[in-house]
Amino acid sequence: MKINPVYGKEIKLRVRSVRFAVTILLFNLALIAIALFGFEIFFNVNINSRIDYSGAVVVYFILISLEAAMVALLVPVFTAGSIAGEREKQTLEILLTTVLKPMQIVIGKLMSSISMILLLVFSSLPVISIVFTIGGVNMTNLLQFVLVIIVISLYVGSIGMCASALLKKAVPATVLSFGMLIIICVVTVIAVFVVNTSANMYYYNTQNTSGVYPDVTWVGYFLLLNPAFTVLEMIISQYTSQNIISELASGLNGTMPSIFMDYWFECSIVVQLVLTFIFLMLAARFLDPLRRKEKEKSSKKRKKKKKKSGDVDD
Amino acid sequence: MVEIENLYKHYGKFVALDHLDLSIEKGELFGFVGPNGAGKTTTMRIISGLLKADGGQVQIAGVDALKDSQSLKRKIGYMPDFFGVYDNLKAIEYMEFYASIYGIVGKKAKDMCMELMDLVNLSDKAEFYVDSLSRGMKQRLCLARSLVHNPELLILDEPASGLDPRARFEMKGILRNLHDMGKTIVISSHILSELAEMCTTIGIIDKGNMLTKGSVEDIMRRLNTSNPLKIHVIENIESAVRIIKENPKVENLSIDGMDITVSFNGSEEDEAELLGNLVNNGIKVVSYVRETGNLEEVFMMVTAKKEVLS
Ligand SMILES: Nc1ncnc2c1ncn2[C@@H]1O[C@H](COP(=O)(O)OP(=O)(O)OP(=O)(O)O)[C@@H](O)[C@H]1O
Ligand SMILES: [Mg+2]
Repeated sequence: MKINPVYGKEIKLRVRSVRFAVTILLFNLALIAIALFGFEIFFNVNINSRIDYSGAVVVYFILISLEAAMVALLVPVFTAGSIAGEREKQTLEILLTTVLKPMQIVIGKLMSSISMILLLVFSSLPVISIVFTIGGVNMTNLLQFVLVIIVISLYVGSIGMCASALLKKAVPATVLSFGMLIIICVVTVIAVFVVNTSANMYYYNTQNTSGVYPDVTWVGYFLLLNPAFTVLEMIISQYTSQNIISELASGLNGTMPSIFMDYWFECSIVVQLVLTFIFLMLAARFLDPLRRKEKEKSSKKRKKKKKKSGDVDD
Repeated sequence: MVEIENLYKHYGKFVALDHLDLSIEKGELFGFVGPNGAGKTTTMRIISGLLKADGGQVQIAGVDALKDSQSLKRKIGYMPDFFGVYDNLKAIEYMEFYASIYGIVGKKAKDMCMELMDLVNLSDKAEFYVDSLSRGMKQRLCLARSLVHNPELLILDEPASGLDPRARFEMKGILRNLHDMGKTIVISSHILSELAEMCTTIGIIDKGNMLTKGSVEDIMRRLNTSNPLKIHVIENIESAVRIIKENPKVENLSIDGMDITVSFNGSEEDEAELLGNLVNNGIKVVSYVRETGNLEEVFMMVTAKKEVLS
């Protein structure tokens, strides 16, 4: 298989840096510290009675939530700066005059940005597995965890790439990616609450508890976009027999097709991968000089003018 | 090789290229001259597939450059007016990266890259990190980079800007070599004399219009004939002035001590004839030259005296 040239170059650059090795080391030390600390608390407290292994499960929860959060927070920083970095070095134009297609540039950049983070995650798998053997987590659970981490990094990464290709400056692109991240992780949840509360108010105030309670399950589907909810749902269904999706649906006074209730995890993964693909297409489109929108030129013009006046100052 | 017809480009209300026509034959070393903001970079970016045109046609080596940018990119090597280097790569790795984009990897890539680095006199710097190279070396590295896919046409935007005279000389030698290897080369500059020394043809652009295009000698002559003649005599200035005034090609003249500045609208033959007249009449002429345009003057001329050129 031919590797993407942009990816190859990025990896060469990254692996060369000492910072990278140090990061891996520190990250794993931190995880081990958290795990030991957790076990200390959960096991030593109960040292005289029966050891409560469910404490290990809590440690597992904490660790994977931390890792998922870390991925979601680091990936935008890495990807949002990636196109901007090429632009600042003025190598983007050169890449665009080669036979590389914009999509190849986007994919190469995305993969190199997230593979660093995934490497961090994979390097932590030994630590996670220890927690997991003690906590009685099975292999499928661990695989689900790996899958969800990969999907989150692709999904959030594609948003970062899209912002980076659109704005071409590291700081605004990072801000935009975090904005998007907040929308998918927080605003979707708020939307569910707001819609549900409004429906309640409508039911109690206008219908006077005699009419029909409106079915607002549609707003629940927005949670398919929310990777944090995917992780939450995954953890809950790994450890309890509760089906929070059917509870969610009945809370919204309706029901969802059984495919969503039984396979929420798989559905949300598919939805997020489809969105990933769409964001990547958009990013490639923003990068393509011959397909760029008119709107962009005006911002470019301002930049050029600024640069010119800057030159005069020199 | 390059056929540009009616090329039009505007930025908002500002018209950067105003129905520009230009054709460059295979094997030309074409110098693209014009003052700042004339539209050189804009033209080059459009024909390299980096900028969308708003109208017109561009054919490059039989490819419709505005439509088929993938085929276009195999035919051209473009070097922008900035470096675009990755500082923490070694020079050879930088080259190999671009080779890998064209699917050339491994030993084959290394050999080819070394060959190209040799061509631009950088073979001893292969293992140096790019950020340790001097400006001139980076420029040459970028030139080598634009050659990795063996393009037929090289588009070089101000390849000699910011170089000292020696580096400039070296760059010229490299470009001549490439030209001898059969590449068609387009170079832009705002310094006419710089291009005049190495180009086979020159085109002058201003405000998005091609003012003229022709062989270097042709253009230089046409530009020169609009320059004044400077004549310095050591005695008998009155009769010198009388003889000069009799010449029908003289438009006007001014005298400053023993210097006479003449607006002379004639060919080189006419110039020689006038000099002959002066000498035959016993005038002691010590200096008789067409003032060659320096940078500013060429600009002024190009922009102010379009009729001279067209
Ligand atoms: N992105 C842009 N947005 C708006 N105007 C632009 C843009 N790029 C170029 N221009 C304008 O188009 C005109 C032509 O610019 P261009 O860069 O082609 O000139 P040039 O001949 O290369 O000049 P120089 O010798 O300074 O490099 C200039 O007036 C410039 O201000
Ligand atoms: Mg320019």
